[in-house]
Amino acid sequence: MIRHAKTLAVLACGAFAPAVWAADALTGEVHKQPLNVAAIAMFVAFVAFTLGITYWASKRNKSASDYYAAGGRITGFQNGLAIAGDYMSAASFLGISALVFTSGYDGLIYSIGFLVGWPIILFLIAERLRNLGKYTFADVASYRLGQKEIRTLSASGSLVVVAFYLIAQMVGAGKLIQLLFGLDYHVAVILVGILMCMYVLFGGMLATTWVQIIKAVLLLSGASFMALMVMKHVGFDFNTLFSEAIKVHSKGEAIMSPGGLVKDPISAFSLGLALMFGTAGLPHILMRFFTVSDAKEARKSVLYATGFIGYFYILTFIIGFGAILLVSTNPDFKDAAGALLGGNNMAAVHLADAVGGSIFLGFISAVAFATILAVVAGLTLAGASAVSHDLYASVWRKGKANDKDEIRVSKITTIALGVLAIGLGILFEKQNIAFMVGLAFSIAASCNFPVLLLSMYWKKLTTRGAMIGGWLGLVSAVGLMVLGPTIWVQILGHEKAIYPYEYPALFSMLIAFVGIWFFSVTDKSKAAENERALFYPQFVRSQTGLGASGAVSH
Amino acid sequence: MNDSIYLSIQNSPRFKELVSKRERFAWILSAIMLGLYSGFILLIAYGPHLLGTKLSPDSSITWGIPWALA
Repeated sequence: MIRHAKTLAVLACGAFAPAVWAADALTGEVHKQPLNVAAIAMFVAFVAFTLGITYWASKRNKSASDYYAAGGRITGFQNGLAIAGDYMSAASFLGISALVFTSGYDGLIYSIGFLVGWPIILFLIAERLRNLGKYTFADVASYRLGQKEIRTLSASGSLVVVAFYLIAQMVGAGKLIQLLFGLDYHVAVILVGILMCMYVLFGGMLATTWVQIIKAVLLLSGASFMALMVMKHVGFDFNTLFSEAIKVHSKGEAIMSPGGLVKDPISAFSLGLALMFGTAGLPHILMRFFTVSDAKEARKSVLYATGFIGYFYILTFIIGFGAILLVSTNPDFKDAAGALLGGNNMAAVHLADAVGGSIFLGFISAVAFATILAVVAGLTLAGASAVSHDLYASVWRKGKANDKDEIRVSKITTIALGVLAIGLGILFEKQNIAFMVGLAFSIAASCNFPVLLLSMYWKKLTTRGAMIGGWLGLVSAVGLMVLGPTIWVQILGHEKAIYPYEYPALFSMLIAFVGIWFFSVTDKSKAAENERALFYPQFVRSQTGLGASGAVSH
Repeated sequence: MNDSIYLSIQNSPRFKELVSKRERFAWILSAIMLGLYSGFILLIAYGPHLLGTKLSPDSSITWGIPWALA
């Protein structure tokens, strides 16, 4: 009944809306599209279905383990899909296909960067992380070190990463919805904020996981269909695809080799490092490893996730080239000046229209929005658990908090994060999304990753070393970013950047690792002695899983 | 809690052998990944024309495509 009413309301809006929106469609940087009824109907269906799942999940959530880690009952395959759903953002779907559309090969460089971190997680992180931790990666980092210091550090690192990533997603969401559905930016941001809070508040990890799984399936099948139609158009021959694209693209053969994206080697390398190791320091990704029952399933989930993500990036490459063939040659998708309607980020969306008509266009638009919801829900849950599990339960209550209080704090944090995300999303409306994502990865690679990796692998690590080095990494990453060309010159308006490169990871990671090493080896205290002695029991547990928290059965 | 069990596992030669083999394997694979990726980035930075070379004169596919997919 309620769904009927909603659909009717949407249809009613659709009937008179185009006239209203057409009036201001030409103002602002992002051009609003006329209200897309098919897209909104499908989106409402998605929201209704996922809220149903949230309700189901809320009935099943009984303990803290259910809330944070879905009780450890998710299978490796499901978790792999959920990780892929957590990681493949709308920004990468629309952004990378747009990058391929405008500059060809350069788009592929970007997607490879996002993929290379995964084998590292598989080889070095996944198993040990699962064997040592319970709900957050701070459990692992602080396993044999000072709880207060390391959890505060890890929670701060997590929150900063979550904040930047969340802003990037919120801004992306607002723009996307403006483009796809013809809704106002502010309305879109508030809507996303409210929905993500609902999923996390009532459904916890279980609902978040299923939202991510559904979104991954929808996104992968939608993108597969588009790529299939593109390949059918060229007779399933890559050579034809590329040579046709070269013929119609204004840059000609230049689209088949690296071009202007990578300006200087140091910036390129710095971004490469950030993407590669940042993935292994993203709190919302690391948290997903605690939703499976044991290390074997954790390993399997990375394997599936890597497969899905890699497949997805190949699809975006085909979709980008398909857009060159089918969208750039079609005057229907262009304005009077010959630019793509709604900007280059709409390349994939226009392609959906070109290969599947308006119903499929609606489907892809709704999937793009669902994609954002799944990512922000995962981020919010990671931020909330950093506050409740690490700061509140372990630092403030010194591990004596009961489950009920801990979850209550987590829910309050979720609402606070929701409000914060909406506020920052509106405040940062004009910011470059790709840069913010780069920043989040850089911080994750310079603070979370070094502490996590060394706590699992380096016997001589001490609390003092991890704390000083970790903070140095965090501060230097943020500091260099502020002094770099984007913020110092473009935003603060100074003449020349103090730090000449776009991304800080190359230097801030070095600072973090050297800092951790130096302050650990020079630590001669009694506590440090104990921490080093605790390495071997930790090592045995990390290898065997003996004593690890397993699946909870009700 | 499991101190004595941990200690006996830790001292068992079979555990040591298994762990060292697994560790070496994981590090070798990681090093290969890191090396390939660094090489790729360096190639983009210093020799983009190499990746732009065509597989064969009559093909539009450049060397960069199989490189990137592999």
